[in-house]
Amino acid sequence: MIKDIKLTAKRQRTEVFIFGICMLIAFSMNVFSILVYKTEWKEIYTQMGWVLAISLFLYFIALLLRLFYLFVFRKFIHKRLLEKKKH
Amino acid sequence: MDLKELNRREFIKSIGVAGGGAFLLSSLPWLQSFASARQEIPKGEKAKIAIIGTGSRGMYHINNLLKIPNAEIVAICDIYKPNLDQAAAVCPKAKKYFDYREVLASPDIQGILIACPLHVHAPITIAGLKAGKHVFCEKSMARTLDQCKEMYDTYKQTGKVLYIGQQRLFDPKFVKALEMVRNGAIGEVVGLRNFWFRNNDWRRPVPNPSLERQINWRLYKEYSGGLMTELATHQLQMGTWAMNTLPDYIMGSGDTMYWKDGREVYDNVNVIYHYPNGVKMTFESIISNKFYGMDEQILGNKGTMELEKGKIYMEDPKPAPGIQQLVNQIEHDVFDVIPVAGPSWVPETASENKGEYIMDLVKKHDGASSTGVTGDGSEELVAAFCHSVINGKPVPGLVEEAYYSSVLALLGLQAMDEKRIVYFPEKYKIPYLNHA
Repeated sequence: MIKDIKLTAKRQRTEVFIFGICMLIAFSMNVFSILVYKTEWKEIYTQMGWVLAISLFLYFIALLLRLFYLFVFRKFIHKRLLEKKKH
Repeated sequence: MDLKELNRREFIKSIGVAGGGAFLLSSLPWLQSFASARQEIPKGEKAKIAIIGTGSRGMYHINNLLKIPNAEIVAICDIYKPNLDQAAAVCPKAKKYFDYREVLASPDIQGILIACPLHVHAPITIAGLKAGKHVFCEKSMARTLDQCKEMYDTYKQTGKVLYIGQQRLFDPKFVKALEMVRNGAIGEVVGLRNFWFRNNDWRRPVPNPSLERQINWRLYKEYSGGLMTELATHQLQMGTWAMNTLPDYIMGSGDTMYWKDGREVYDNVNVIYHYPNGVKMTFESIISNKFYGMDEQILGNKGTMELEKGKIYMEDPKPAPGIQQLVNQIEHDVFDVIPVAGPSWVPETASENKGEYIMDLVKKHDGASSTGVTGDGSEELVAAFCHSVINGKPVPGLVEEAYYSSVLALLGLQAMDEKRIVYFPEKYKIPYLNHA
């Protein structure tokens, strides 16, 4: 049976915040590359496609790290630590 | 997709008004004449044209003429009946002739279009001009240097219209390329390369062995200069355009090395045209390998142009956007194998720069067709001829361009035949390109 997935307002705010951070990093990379490679400043808007693609890539990496934390750290390591404390 | 349609009429029309148009019109006078001729023609007036030679190239012109509103094919002429019949099938109203002299005697005919084997270009053209007809003659101009000069002199004496089938003079991408070269887009011109590679025997089927020399006339020296007069003559005009002067000497080598089937003309040639400033133009043709196809390349110290492809390749192309360079750098740093020692020598293979089209909507062709292809300027050329027939005004520069490309082809052939350096003979210089 398919379960409904509920995205709370807090979760949505968190995800938007994380994606915003990714966008900021990607945008900074664009500015950095314009300075380093001495290309045209109009690339700030002409290369928005690349900025968006890099933002999504970073968001995906952040998602993987968070899932890793959720499933590996919290389910196993954190659980064992709690069990040790009980004993 | 590489092949793109191009509205050539609009291009020709716009030359007079577009940016840089004034420069083009002054350096390419035949375009100016064509542009103004379009406006001078009264509505409904038609040029009465006779086609002499209705073989494959003649039929190609007939099909183009049938699309031109100012053209009317009133006569067709060929000594070979099957050719005449195929033309009669598409021009049922045209009068049929077997002898071109009867065509020239007809007062109803204003202009003649000659698409015959090379050796008869000069006699028919000269007779036509003297008979008061306007003449369109296929390239190359003539079989010999003296015939070329005689054709040119007759054209000047009679004041009649003469066109030679150098369709690249009306191909928009060539015109645009010339403008860019003259404007310094590729810097100083340092070299010119022409090549035309095919892999076929250049033969046509012969229904009867007695017709061999008539049908396969391109293979026999009596009728043709082979690769030089049939192919090189199209490409050698590029040197005149780009350098705006004539080469001072020519050398070359030609052989019949692969198609040893009784032909008398070379099946591979390599010719060098030396210009007074040290620049060299080459023409190379092999008809037993087609890998490189055909092209005309203008090499400058800042860039290269490939005219058939309609592309320009800068020596230092514009760098990729910064963010792409950064991503590439990261990718290289992460994934590339670190060499233990740098190579002492790296082969300088050809640049992989993909270049840019010199204008929008370039139409390219590979030169494999020996008859003609859509978009190569042929239709514009015959349309221009019809306009000239109606207004009766010769087109400045057109014959001179064709004359020099034909003469250069024949001098290249002479250099190969005689196995010596041939200096451009003074007696074949005409008042064009700063030669008084």
